[in-house]
This record gives sequence, C-alpha cells and structure tokens, in this order.
Amino acid sequence: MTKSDTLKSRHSFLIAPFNALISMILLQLLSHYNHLPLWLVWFCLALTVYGFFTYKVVVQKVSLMVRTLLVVLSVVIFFMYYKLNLSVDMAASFLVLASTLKFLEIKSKKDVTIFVYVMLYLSAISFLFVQSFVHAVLQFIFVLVSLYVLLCVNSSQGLLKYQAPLSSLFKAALVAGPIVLVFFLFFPRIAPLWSIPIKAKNATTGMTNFMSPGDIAELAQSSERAFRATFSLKAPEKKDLYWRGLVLDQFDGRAWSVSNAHSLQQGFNKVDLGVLYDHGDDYYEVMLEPNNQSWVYALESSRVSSSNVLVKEAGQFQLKTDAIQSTRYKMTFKSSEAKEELAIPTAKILQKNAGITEVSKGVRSYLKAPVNSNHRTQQYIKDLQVSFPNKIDLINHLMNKFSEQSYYYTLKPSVLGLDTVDEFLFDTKQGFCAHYASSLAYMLRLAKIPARVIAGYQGGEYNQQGGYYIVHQYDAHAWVEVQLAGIGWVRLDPTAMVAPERILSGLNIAVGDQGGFLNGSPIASAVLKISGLNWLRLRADEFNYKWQKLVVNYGNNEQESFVNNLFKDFMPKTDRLLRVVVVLGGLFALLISMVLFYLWYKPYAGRYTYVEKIYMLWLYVLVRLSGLKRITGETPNAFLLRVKASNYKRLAKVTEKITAKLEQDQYRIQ
Amino acid sequence: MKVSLFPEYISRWLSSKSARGEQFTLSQKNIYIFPSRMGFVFVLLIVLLLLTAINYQNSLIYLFTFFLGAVFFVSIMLCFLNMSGLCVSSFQVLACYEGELRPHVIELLNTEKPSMGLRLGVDKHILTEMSINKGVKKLHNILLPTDSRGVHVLDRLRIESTFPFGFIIAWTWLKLDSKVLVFPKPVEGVRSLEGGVGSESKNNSRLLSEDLTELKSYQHGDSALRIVWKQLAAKDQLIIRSHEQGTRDSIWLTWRLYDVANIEKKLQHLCFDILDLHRKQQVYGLDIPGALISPSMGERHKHECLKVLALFSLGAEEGQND
Repeated sequence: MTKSDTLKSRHSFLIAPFNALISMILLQLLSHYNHLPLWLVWFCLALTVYGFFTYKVVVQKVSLMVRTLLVVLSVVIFFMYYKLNLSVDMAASFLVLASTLKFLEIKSKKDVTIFVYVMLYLSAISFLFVQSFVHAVLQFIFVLVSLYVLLCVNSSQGLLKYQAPLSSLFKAALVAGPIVLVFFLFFPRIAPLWSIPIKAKNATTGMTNFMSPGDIAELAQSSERAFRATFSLKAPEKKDLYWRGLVLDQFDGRAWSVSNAHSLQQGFNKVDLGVLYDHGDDYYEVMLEPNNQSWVYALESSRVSSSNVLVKEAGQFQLKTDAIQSTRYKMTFKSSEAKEELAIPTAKILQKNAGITEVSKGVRSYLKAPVNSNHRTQQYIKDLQVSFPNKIDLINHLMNKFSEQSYYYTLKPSVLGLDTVDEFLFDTKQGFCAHYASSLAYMLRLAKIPARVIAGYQGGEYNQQGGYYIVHQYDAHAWVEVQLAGIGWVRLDPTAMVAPERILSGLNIAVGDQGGFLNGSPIASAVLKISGLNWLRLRADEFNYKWQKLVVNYGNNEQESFVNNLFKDFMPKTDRLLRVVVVLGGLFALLISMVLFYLWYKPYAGRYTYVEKIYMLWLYVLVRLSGLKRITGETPNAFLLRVKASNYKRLAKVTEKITAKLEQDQYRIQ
Repeated sequence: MKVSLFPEYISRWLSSKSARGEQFTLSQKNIYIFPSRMGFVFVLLIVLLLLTAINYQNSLIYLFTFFLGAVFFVSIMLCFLNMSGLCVSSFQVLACYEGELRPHVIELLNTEKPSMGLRLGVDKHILTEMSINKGVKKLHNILLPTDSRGVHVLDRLRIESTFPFGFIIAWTWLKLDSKVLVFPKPVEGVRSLEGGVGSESKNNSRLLSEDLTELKSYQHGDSALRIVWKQLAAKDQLIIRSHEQGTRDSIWLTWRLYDVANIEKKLQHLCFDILDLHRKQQVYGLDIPGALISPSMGERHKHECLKVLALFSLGAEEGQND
C-alpha cells in the first residue's frame, strides 16, 4: 500500500462528497456575494482551491501548523474589518469564513455533518438579503446538495454507485413537499422577538433625504425597480401618478432637505400586526423593493390601510421598520365626498393631502428662503410682484416662463456654481426635474407663497398582462406644492411645462436621443429597445411579482384571509388559532395513519397479483348482484360453469372474461 | 466516552428478554428508532432557523425551515424502511481452536430493497460498515477472541444504521443463534510409555506407506481420501487403499497416555495428537471418559474426535456414551 492509498482509505468517506463539499462553498460564496467584502470572497476562494489541491492532487492533509496559521490570520483580519459591529451581515461573513476553514480540517463524518449544518444556516440567512425566485431555486439546489453529502456520509459506499441513495433523496424531497406546503400555509406567524440589524452599513438605494440640483438625474441611470403597484379598480393614467415620497421643506440656497419637524412621530408601538384594513373598494397595494429606508410612496389623497405604515406630517407616511425586505402596504383612496368634507376650513386645508389633522405650525416654515445668495432671482421676483399683485397670476406667469422661454430638459445639465438658482434660471437654462422644482419653489417662497418640494416618483411602466405598474428608479421625480388660500395645497409640476412628454410617456421618450438615460446599465437599455426581449422582461417581472405576493410576502394577514376563505363554509365562527391547530393536527394524524396503514398492509402486499385482486373483487360484486357465491375449494372454471348455468347471462359473460384472464395469469396461457 | 441514550437501555433490556433464534427478519417488532446525536443538533438548527424566520418575518426562511423539518420527519420513515425486511440468519456452525479468533458467520439478505449504511457488531463501539444490495446474499464474519473450548454462542448482535441523513438512528439487538465450536488448543505433550490401551500396535508412530497397503477397488461409501489417484490416471479405475479393519495398525488415544493431572492440558495434548495422526494419515481411535470413538481416519473422524474434546466435561461422563 502506498502512502496515498492509506490516506485515501482513511478519507474514504471524503471521496464521494468531496466535489459536493466544494460546490457547496462556491454556491454560498455566490449567494452571499453581494454583501461579502471582496477580500473575504477571494480569501475563501483561495482556501478552497488550496484545500482542493492538498486533498485531491497531493493527497495529503492540511498540516496543523498551516491550519492554525490560517485561523489566526483570518480571525485577525476579520475583526480588524468588522470591529465587533454586530449584524446579520457580519454573522454571514463570519460563517462563510468559518465553514471554509472547517473544510480544510475535515477528518471525520462528524466534521462533514457540522460543516453541512453551518452551511445550511448560511443558506437560510441568505434570504435576508435576496428573495428573488432565482435565488430561492439556487438555495433549493443547495439544500439538495447538502442532503446528498449527508447521504453519502451515512450510507457505506462502494457497492451501489449511489443509485439507491439518490432515489431516497428524491423520495424524501417529494414526500416533504406537501408537508412543507401545509406548514407554510398554516403555521402561525408570530411577531418578532428581538432584532439584530441585518447590515452594519446600510447601503440605501433610491431617494435621499436631501436634494441638490442634479441628484435625481443620477437615479435616471438605474433601471432597478423601486416598487410595484396594483390598483383594485381602474388604474389611474400615467400622468396622474405622482407618488409622493418626501416633503423637502428646507432650502439653504443650494439644496432642499427634510426639516426636523418631519421626523418620525414618536410613541408608536413599532410591532407590526401585519393587518390590512378594509377602508373601501378603491385601494391600491404597493410592493416596495428593499431599499433600507422607511419612506412610503403614496398617491395624493390616500389613506393608510395597513398596519405597517405610520402617518406623518405634511401628508407623508412612514414604514414602522426600514424596508430591509420587500414590503407590502395598502392605501385606500379617499372617496370624493370625504374630500369635500375635509376641504372646507382654510386652517385645516392640509388635510386634503395629509389625511390627518395637521397641527398648524403655521405656514411660516414654508416661506423660509435664504436671501444671502441668488440675488438676481430675488430681484426678479421683486419686479414680478409689482407687475403681478395677484398670487395666482404670478404662479401662472412663472409656470409659463418655463414653457415659453428657451428652457431645456436634459439629463446632462451644465455644472452650476454657488448661486445655483441664478445660474440655472438666467444662464444655463437647462436642467432636470430637480432644477425646475428647486428654483420654482424658491421663487414662490420669495413671492411669499408657501411652497415645498416633493420628492418621489412619477408615472411607471404599465404591465398590461399583469395589470400593475412597475415604478423604476429612473421614474424618480421632484415637483412643487403650493398652498393657496381657500384651496389648500396644490401640485405644480414645472417639468410638465418644459417637457410634457416626460409626464405623458416617461423619461425614455422625453430625453430621446440626447442620451444620458440608463448610461450606467447598457444591457437594461438594450433590453428596453428590443421589443421581444422587453416582452420577456415584462413576463419575468410579472412572475417575480406573483412570487413576491404569494410566497415572499405571505405573512400574518395573507394567512388570515386564506384561512378565513378556507373555513368560511364549515367552521365559520372559530378562532384562527383553533383552525391552525385543526389543520396541523389533521396533517399529523394523516401522516401517522399513513404510517400505520403501511405497517398493517405490508405483510399483505404482494400476496395477490393484480388479476387475482380483480377476480376477487368481481366475486364480491357477483354475490351482491346475483347471490351466486363461489364455494371454498371450487375452481374458477367450475364456478364459471355454475354461473353460466344460472339465469344471469350478462354476468356470466363478464365472469367468463375475467376467468379467462385469471387462467392466463396463473398458467401463462397465450 | 459516549453516553448511551435512554432508549438504548430499554432496547438492551427488552432484547435480553427475547428468545434466541436462528433467523430474524427486521420489522417494527425488533427495530428501535430514535434521533441520533447529530439529529438532536439538527433539531437545534431547525429551532434556530425558526427563530430567525420569526424575528425577521421572512417567509422564505420559514419555507426553508419547514423543508428541513419535513425532511427530518421523512427520514424517520426512510431510516426504518431501510432496515426493515432485512433477514439476518446464522450461517453454518464453524470451528476453531482455543486462542484463535472465532468466526461467527452471519448471513444478510434483503429481498425487498437495498439496505444502506448498516453497521454490524457485538460491541456498540466496534462496528463494521456495509451495504446490502437488493436480493444479494451477503456473509459477514464476526471474529471474536476465545479463551476457552466448548460451544460459543454470539452474545448479542447489534445492527444499526443512520441512513439516510444521519438524523435518526435505527438499531436492533438480535439474540442470534450463531454457534462456534472451539477445540482445545493443540499442544504437544509427552506421552508416557505404556500409553495405548488396546496396544496391538507395537510402535506408536508407524507410518503408513503405500507399499504396505493393500489395494482394492473403490466401492460406494469408501472415503475419497483413500483413492489412489495415480492408479486412476494409469488405469482409469478407482482404486483405494484399504486397511484390513486395521486394528493392528490403529492407535488408541487414551486418557492415561499423558503424564499430566490437569484435564485441560490432557485435552490439549490429545488435540495435538489427533491433528498429528490425521496429518500422518494414521488410523486412530479415541477413548476418554464418557466417549469412545473407534479407530478410523479422515476429516470427519478427526472432527468427531475434536468435537468430543471440545465438549468434554467431567460431569457429563456418563451421559455422553454415544
């Protein structure tokens, strides 16, 4: 026996699942790639390659010294990088590192098992970061590979070339299917017990809570989804879809930001019961993509109809917890009568948009405009105030100014200096929605008209087959709201004056050939242009949306409505918990009785052939129909003659056929 | 040191009460099943996953957890089914000499399905791993140390398996009637001079050579050992050596042949001489208290004699006359 032979025999259990172990590491590196630091990915890859070569090529064990060195090295680098900021993100990185190191010192079956368990946990927590269907399929494959490894370890090898083990793997997965389904549908969803932040550094996507000119233009580079929305009744037209996100009410001469007055209302119980309220038929549901932010995008005059959303001032809403996962919420349109009711008193006019009684802090904060910069604009407004004493006329003049004068809508505006509004209005005259909204709101404030900038999304892509809107990051938009005495807050969109096609057909058309749209993602923009691919993209999106609605977002509320629907006929007034107990208990009883039946039936299995069973069944039927009974010991042919001699001619014919079959079966007569 | 789980004690106690048998078919009557140590760790993993799912309200982790849980549940069934239907029987009785490892040969057969990842043995900590193909008989030899002659029975056979995923362990204790005949250890002894009761023979170690043997034609029932193969090749005729009921040439091995008081020692010397005479193809008989075997030769005769030695006990002197 050579040295390598002894090693091979010592690691005999390793030979079969070895490649599977490596593929497990690679699959998990891929699954966690998005949030793992790059050095860690390369480090783990290097360790895996090193392990592969020592085990497979050199056929040796990794020496204790090397292993110790590697462990110390990785622990030091790891804590230098993460500095004990506890988060799931960090835990995932740690597990990836630890299991890769464990791979290098696998000595026994127990080691393999522990390795697989850690990897399984790693696979599960990858769902905290990604929840797409493709990712789920990948993880399912991963679980099968893990079980395959366990299977190899627990069935001695060399005999069967894994045919039998693989079949029992699929058997297990297949039988597990219905059990999983029942548990998934009925297992009671419990409120969270405690929470650890998922990511140490929250990389937020989408909007930011301040806006300087040119900010929103960056979002135009991204074709990522911001959210999807389904309307219960007829979906509004594209041009009416103004998804309000944030109210930017503070201007420093250059950038608009959210004042502290709009910070989250305190004193709320943050535990979400996951309830959707019924506030009428005319509602819409938004499925927000994970963006690590808590902003809620809602249309004007909407009312909160789900328990995970809080109401804020100035018609804003907020999620109870940051959208670390795709989050669903429901909003109901206020009926037109309600609108009128609320729109009467001037002091409380905000309600029209806000949905709650806004404590009037005075409109004063909406009039604050810095006067130490943008002097040309200040002079311009002073002059206008003289020529247009009526505020409505002034507003109209300003709006028309954008369409009549040579203003230009572009994604690639010139860089502005310190006096941004001055330079934009009088010199460059080209800009994106942020430029227009920002300068208009500033001018209105100078003219003593309460104004604010709203950041959010406008429009969306309508998925015809799916019947829902997809709102992309490039639909990001900014516009202005002004308060008019007797009317309340009114929306003004200067972009609509400069480039009406932006509102009517979207950014893609509005920008046209001048470029700048989706520059960062050439593939996405190419897909948009080829109609076949675009169709495919929309179908895929529809599927993903369904996946999200049906599976990813199946929570307390979905469960409640499902269970209610299921039980409404035969257990209409029972408690939900009792129903769950009934279903899960029923499943358990079913499984147990199946096992018992199997144990009882097993000794009888194979005692009679198929034809014999049919013959016996026919004998039973015959007794019922005619009373003719085969006597014990009577041969089938003798019995047939007796049946033929009786009055039942038709039954005799059938008996003849079955008896012939039986004869054939028993004596193999052709 | 591994700690036994509680059901392990129950199974030991129950199996100690059960009857011995030559053949067992594993079924729910004799298979014990319980989560293994790693199975308990797996349950812990599932609990941890469930907590994660609850805490982050993540449906996909719920799904993941339920899948693993269901696989755990299904593996209980698969683990049981893997072992059930396995037919364990004792192969023929083998023999060995004292001091050697005694071979208990066990026959394993599963006609219904393959049985994977079986571990067999008498001691829970020393088990041999194997898999049984469907419908293929497999013989397994368990070697155990022997320290005394006589009939040795396999204490208790343990078969266990953690197939398919190692979460569940199924095991059985079988009181299998697997016997091994252990002959005394062959030790050369000094024979006293007056040895040989029916001492028709003048010299004890006379060799049988071919020229002293009468040849006669083979008749049905004659030992194949006596066939003179050379004659067969030359004349195409079965010729055997014959000993004229050779009392004259036969040697009696008796109790008094040896000058030692210890009975075990005497038996060991007898054993040596039997083997020696057998090798030299001499005719010998055995006459010890309780047993008398008339002189003969051949494999069967040797076995008979050795069996008598193996089973010899002073108390049984009167009983063992045939």
